[in-house]
This record gives sequence, C-alpha cells and structure tokens, in this order.
Amino acid sequence: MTPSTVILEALESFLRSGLGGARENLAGVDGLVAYQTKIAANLLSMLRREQELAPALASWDQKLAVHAKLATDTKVLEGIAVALRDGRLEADDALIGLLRQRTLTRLQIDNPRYSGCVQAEQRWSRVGEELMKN
Amino acid sequence: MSETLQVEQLVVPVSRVLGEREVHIDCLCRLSGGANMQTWSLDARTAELSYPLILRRKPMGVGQEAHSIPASTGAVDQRPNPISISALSLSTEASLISLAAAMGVKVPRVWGVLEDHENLGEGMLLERLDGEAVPPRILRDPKLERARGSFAREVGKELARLHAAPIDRCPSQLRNISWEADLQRLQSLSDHFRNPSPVHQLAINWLREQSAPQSPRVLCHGDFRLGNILMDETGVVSILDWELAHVGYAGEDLGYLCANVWRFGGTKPVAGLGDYESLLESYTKHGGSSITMEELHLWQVYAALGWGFSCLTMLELHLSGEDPGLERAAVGRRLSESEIDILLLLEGR
Repeated sequence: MTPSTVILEALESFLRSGLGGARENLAGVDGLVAYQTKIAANLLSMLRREQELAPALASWDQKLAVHAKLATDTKVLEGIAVALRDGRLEADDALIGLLRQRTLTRLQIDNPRYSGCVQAEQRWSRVGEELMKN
Repeated sequence: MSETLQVEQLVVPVSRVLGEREVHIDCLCRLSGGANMQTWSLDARTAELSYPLILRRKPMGVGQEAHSIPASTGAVDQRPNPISISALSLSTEASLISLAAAMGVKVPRVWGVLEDHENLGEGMLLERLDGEAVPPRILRDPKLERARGSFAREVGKELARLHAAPIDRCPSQLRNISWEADLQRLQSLSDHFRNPSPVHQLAINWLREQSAPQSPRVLCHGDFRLGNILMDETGVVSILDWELAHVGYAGEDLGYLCANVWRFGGTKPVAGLGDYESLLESYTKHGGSSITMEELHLWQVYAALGWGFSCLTMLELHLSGEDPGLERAAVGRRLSESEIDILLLLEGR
C-alpha cells in the first residue's frame, strides 16, 4: 500500500510541475492560477511535515498537560491559555520551556522557512532534545 | 453584479470626481482583493488628458458587512469579531488621506468617493502611481539598492509628519481608546477565538505588567509596513492603505514597522532593510518625539500578537464561508509565526 506521505509528496510534485507539464510551466500559467497552485503545493508539503512531526507534537502536548495538571480529555492549549488568563497557572521556566518546544515543532510543520523558526532552532533545539528524553 | 464592473457604470462617477464633462474609460482590470474590498485599475481619458486611476470599492457597502458566523461551523464564538467593528469606511479613509497629504506625507491624490445614487456601493477613486509595493521585490531588486539605503530615514520623516497631525482634525470615526481599554480588547479577541494560544495569553499578561507607553497620542497609520509603502529607484513614492488608521501611541507605528513578521525575511530590524538608529534619528530630526528602545520592543510584542489575531480572523472568514479561498485557509496556519516571535521577544524579559 502506498503510504500517505508518498501520496502527498507525489501530489505536491504534480502541482509544482505546473499542472502536469515541466516545472517552468508554472510561470506560463495565468498569474492567479499559478499563485494559487503554489499555495496548494505548499499546503501539501505542510501536511506531509505534519504527518512526520505528529508524534513529536503529541508528545509536547502530553508533557504540557502533565505540567498543567490537566485531564487528558481537555483541550490542552485552550486549558493552559485560560488558566494563565485567570492566574491559576504560573508562567514558570518549565512551562515556558515546554511552550517554546511545542511552538517550535508547530512552526517546523507550518513554515520552517520563517526567520523566527531558524532563530528559535538555534536557541532552543538542544534543550528540546534533552527535554524530549525525559 | 457586485463581482463585476463595466466601464459604462463608471463614466458618470469618474467624470464627476475629475471635474471633466465626459471621459472615456479603458484598461479596466481587477488587481486584487477579497469579497469585501476590491481594487481596480483604470485609465480615464479626455481629448487632452489621461488620468491613471485606482478604484477601491466595497460593493456591499459597509452596513451590510457585519459578520455573521453560521452556527454550523461551531469553530468560533458567535459574537461579532471585535476587529471587524473598527474597519473604516472608504469615505473616512479618503478624508484621512487628504489630512495626511496636508501634513506633507507622501500619499496618492484622492479624486473623490462614489455617491449612493451611483449604485456601485462604497468606493474611492485615487491617483494611480508607478512603483513597487511587493515586499520581497523591494528587499531584493538590485534597482532599488539605493532606495533601500535611505529607507529608514525616509520613513522616519514620513511618520514624523503624519504624527504631527492635530488629533482634533482627525475624523471622529477613528478608534481612540486608552491603553487599558486596548489591553481589554486584546483579551476579548483571545476569548472570542476561544483562547487557542497559551503564548498569546503570555503576551497579553506581559503587556499588562508593563507600564503604559510613554510616547504621545497621535494619528497612527496602523499598518505601516512593506506592502503598504510604494517605492521606486528614488525612494518612497507613497504610503498606501489607510483603513487601519486610528488614534494611538506614536511608538506603535515605529515598532510595528520593525516587527519580525514585517521584515519578510530581511536581516535588518527596520522592515528587514534598515537600522533602528537611522529610523529614530530621522524621526526626531523631523519633529517626532524621542522613542525608547524599550517602547519599540513593547510594540513589537504587540505587533506579533496582532499578527496572530489577523491569522485567526482570516481563518474565521474562511470558516464562515465569507471568503472560502485557499489563501485564507493557508494564512490560518501562520499563527505559529506570531507565537515564535512572542517567545523570542520575551526571552530574558
């Protein structure tokens, strides 16, 4: 069976090839269509990254839930945001550390080319590897 | 009818605003815009003259634009989005642009606004200027090398001139709320979107812990960044898109321009292509008050948070069916850009 990551990759490559033609053809397609085709291809590559990084993301959510003593069936991010708003949860180093890693993983899925992603990797990736082991 | 526009429909209003007996219109084409705001380019000619024009148009008129989120989506709060309430009408925007022009700010000439009896919805006719507005091209085009070198000083001057506008001459429709009320607005936005981001909440809490900004209350452009600044080889040509203008703190426009999301990958702090010192020096030299680095930092946190709420608003527009395009759905995934910027800005603070 073809894994879904392979299908996503094939779809992305199809779209980037300019609706079936050579890669350069994308420039020849009508401007708006070319632009939207590029967005579609970018979204597919994002979904592929999401499949690859889903276990890491789930692991950070799990660690955040444990830290904030939230029940496993609650929405973790919403629960933490509301607790921070209401002063029921302290924004201590441990929480900030986990939020950095969770956000970095999310951004590595959403837009790894964003300048802030590169900066955050330089500052926090090594800490993240240590945290992930615990 | 609202999506399309024929040259015949424009002859009367265009002749009226130009003060010409009768014009011939050609090269009418849609440039961009969502369902609510369209931008059209057109040329109006008389026997002697040619007028390059831009038409900004809200076909529905502002009164019919209020948000209603279908209950079926279930993804967002049913109350109106607090952002959409503050959108300016095009006639207010037109009077603001005229005020900015009177202060010496580089803006396109406003020819006039559409009238109700012309049945085209809300609209504003502006002079069409030549230049580059696309951020990546402004950051990289070799032809704009010199313009990039003088950019920070030039925009410092433009902002100083704008911020000298007397607040009592601004249209009364402009948002003008206290720092405390603004923080409450941000919290309401987060609650409206059902508190999706702990990092946004960290930013709101951090802003609450700071003392109120020290810079004076002025007329702010509200969206002062590449994309809304037209450039050519000689430098800044014109400041565009005034629909987010409001009365606020002077530091806001400067900090916003320096926010990471509006550097478009450029390495320097001011819009990705200039340095802080040039911006601040030029700003004070042309009459602006002195703005501290602390305050610039605060407004960068504020701008990062604002970008997060913009992403959520665009996702909401997509989910409501109001603007179902791919682009809005994609922008909804850029939330994490705002979150990483907030975390980077707050490290060690």
